[in-house]
Amino acid sequence: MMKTIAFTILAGAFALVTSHAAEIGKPAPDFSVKNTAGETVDLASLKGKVVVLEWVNYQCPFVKKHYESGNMPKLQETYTAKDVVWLTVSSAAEGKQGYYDATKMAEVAKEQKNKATHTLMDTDGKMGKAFDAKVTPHMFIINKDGVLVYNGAIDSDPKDPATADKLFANALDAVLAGTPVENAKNKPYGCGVKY
Amino acid sequence: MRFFLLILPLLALGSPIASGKGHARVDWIAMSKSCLPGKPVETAVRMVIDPGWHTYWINPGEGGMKTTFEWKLPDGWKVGEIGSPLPKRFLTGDLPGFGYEGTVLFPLGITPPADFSGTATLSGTVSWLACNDGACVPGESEVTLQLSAGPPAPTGEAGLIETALAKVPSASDTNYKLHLVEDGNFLKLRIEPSDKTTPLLQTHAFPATPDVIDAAAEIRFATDGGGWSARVPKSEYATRPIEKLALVLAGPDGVSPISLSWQKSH
Repeated sequence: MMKTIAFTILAGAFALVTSHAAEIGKPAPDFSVKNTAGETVDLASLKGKVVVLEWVNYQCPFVKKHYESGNMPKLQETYTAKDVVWLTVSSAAEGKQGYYDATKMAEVAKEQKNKATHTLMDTDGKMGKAFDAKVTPHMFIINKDGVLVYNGAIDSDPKDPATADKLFANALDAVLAGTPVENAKNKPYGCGVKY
Repeated sequence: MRFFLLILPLLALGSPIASGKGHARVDWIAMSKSCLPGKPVETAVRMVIDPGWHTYWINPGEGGMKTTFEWKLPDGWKVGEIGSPLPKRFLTGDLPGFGYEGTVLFPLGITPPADFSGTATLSGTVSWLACNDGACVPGESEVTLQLSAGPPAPTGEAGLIETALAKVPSASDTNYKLHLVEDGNFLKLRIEPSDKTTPLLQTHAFPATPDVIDAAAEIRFATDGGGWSARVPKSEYATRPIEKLALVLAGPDGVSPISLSWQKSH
């Protein structure tokens, strides 16, 4: 009896540890989520490509700043041209700030000049929780081998993107150049993801 | 008709017109509206936050942003460092944070120049982020304060500023010594009093330095020899050797707040 309890506690502890799945240097959590067109996008099928995940909420002032300034669309355009798969992910639950149905989300993305490869509708928040996406914008980079190599902020300063340290872009440049990523894990700023 | 179309979306956002931009209002108050040349006067920036919303401390925790102040002073005027009162812990969705709800006063000592005469207008800009579970809204507001040369006379707000000053942690590095040792994903903290009879009031404990201690972790010290020890989880963002930590501790109801600091010796 005692043994069973001990085992259960151990198993529980183990489950807690492994739930922190999105770790730098480890395979990224697998996901299979529909895009705004209703097509399924899964990580397994993207092997061999560098994948960027960008958590979005178009009503969040931090996100707005990066879209209204054109910074985010420019990054999307620049890196998708370098064969990067850029996935903009919305994990806002229905009824929460930033939630739109797929059709409306596609419209808003277009208005905001989003140039991502896909916008993923993670309305149940499973993908967001698997990556422990905390805020919008929160950026992740997965390398060609499916390993998570960046988890952090878009840049170092929410007040002025122009003079901020370009943490994410520098990391992505390093990944594309095959050099080590500095600051692979840092604290992203923004609005909490509205799970 | 067009008028209504413009107004309705604003109302839906929670009446920003009534409350000021960013779900909070700020003004600048003083213990006295008059002061003698070269003699400091205590003032405070008062922030009234809409019910259900919060703003952030110097360590905002996760997902928040600290409140910042910028001053525009006439020549010869000096300001001290603005005081940050003891914060509260809260969750914004899943994100642990530190900050303020309701009304908060940030005390600020001001010193006029030695040749001060007449009246001076001081101004500043306060920037903050207000969040509730559903949204985050940035706020920014100008504050001004007019002071005249003359013997000090307490204003109606003097008592409020007095109370606010008592909520600002005082540096207590001469009374206590803080030590920090990294231990894998944890930090071992130790506090030693310079006088063994000094108690440690630690009903409230907050990490004032961001990204060192996990913002969600409760910090509790246990009596250990002649001091107190605690083992706390490291912040997941502490990816490099820790260089410094400031801790803020206070007794029940936030009484006697103190600030202790540790710096890595090189």
